[in-house]
Amino acid sequence: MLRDITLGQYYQTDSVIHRLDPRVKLATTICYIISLFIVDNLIGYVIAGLFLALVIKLSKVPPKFMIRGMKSILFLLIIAVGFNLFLTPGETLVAFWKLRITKEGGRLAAFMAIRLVFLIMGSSVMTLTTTPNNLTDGMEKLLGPLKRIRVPVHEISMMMSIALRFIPILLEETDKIMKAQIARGADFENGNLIKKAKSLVPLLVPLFISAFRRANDLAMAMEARCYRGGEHRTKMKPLVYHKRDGIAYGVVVCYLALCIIFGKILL
Amino acid sequence: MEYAALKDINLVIPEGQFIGLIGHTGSGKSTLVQHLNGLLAPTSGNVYYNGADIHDKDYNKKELRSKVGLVFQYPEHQLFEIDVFSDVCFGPKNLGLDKKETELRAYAALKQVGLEDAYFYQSPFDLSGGQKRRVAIAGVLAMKPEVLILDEPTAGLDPKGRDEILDQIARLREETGMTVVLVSHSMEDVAKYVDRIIVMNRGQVMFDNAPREVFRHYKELEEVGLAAPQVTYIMQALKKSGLNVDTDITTIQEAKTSILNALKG
Repeated sequence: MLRDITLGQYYQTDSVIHRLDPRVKLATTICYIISLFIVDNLIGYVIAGLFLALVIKLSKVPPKFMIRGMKSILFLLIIAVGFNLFLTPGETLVAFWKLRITKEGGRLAAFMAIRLVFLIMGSSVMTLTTTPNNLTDGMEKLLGPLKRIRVPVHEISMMMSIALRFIPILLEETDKIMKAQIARGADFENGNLIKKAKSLVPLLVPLFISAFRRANDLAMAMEARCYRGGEHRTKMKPLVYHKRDGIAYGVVVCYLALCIIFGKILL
Repeated sequence: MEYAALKDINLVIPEGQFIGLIGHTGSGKSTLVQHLNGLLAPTSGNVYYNGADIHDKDYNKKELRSKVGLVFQYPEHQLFEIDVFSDVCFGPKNLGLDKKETELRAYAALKQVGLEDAYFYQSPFDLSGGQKRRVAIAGVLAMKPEVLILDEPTAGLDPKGRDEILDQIARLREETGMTVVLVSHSMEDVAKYVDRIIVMNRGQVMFDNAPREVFRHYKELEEVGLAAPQVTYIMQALKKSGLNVDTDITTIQEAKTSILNALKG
């Protein structure tokens, strides 16, 4: 029941995108998100769409995985589109009862929807093609310079990777506790909002306790193996740039340039 | 790739029987017991309780779950209330019973698992592992089930705690006459208590018979990663070296009598 969350799930296959350095993928994702907010005309979004389609094609991840991820933001999407559609002032197109749709509102709503969909798809391409470990490694390396101003970069990325690692474990745990309480006659589905919220107590208390217990055990196991933060720690597989990573950076720069030229300056 | 967790399961569990469900990790025993109270629904096939299909649309699942009590593995992980007594009250309260009846049942259940009164108003998290498990089992017993299913109730307990829990379950069953299904991966644990053993392997029932009949196949049991009780091996070895003992023995007590008889005769 809780298993269809795509965010943070890795799709195992062998493709160019999978082999890219995680730093490249992180930078590309950030650039892509920025590009979505730079462009504000149709040509720009067509370019962004084509770029995304190309990357998805190259990644060999079945598109249905992306679509499954969309379900979780459907609600957000409807709200965002609804508000933009009805509450933007401007030239009225259609009006009924107290609601009116303006030309500007329609445009804004459409762009907002495209932006959101591309945003989620773009970031799921990254998480689907990069293992969580690789991702946090890349992040640590990219944020490296911040160490000079005493940002605990290593600690942050370690927390990230532990958090990601624990998502499936906690989901499984939730499922188990839920079943155990249902076996004791608990009801998680029926009743009004207050009743439903109350019915979560028998689920959340054991879940928190088990999370704390696991955290404790993990901390103990890490200390037993002499973990003491990032200092002097070497990597078994250090990140090294290859030729394909250089090419990828080139492609991203070209894409950004295209976006700025066609999506902003022209028109 | 399709993978069937359970295949060709045909079982009848008569009232009052004490059953041991045995299989190594991943053999499908936990999946099977979750079908018995409707937590999981079979992809194909039916589950009947007292003659009624539990997956019929108008079947009352909540009532079924109070009649078929399921104690999960590591049940102490489901405790959540501020004190032991209110945690045990959770089950009967969900059944919609009034306060008095709920508390009476909770008290009786805690007595049944042999927990002392002094612990009743302590936080369940302050208890020892064995005591927590008793409280969790009491939480299911308080619903007064007709069938009690325990999924590896002795996992992670020391030998003393294990024997105490198993003895308690056996006593409980004698007192109340309820049907008990004991899930385990250890023949040793169940041999002493049960009337019938069901051996699971790769999602299928491999043997379903009285313990002594099942242990005759100790060679086959070994092949699937299980073992007969140590007594069986000793008796087989004695027989081989020429002592005329009964190899169908399942408990140490019986073995003792049989060996003494053989030596006398």
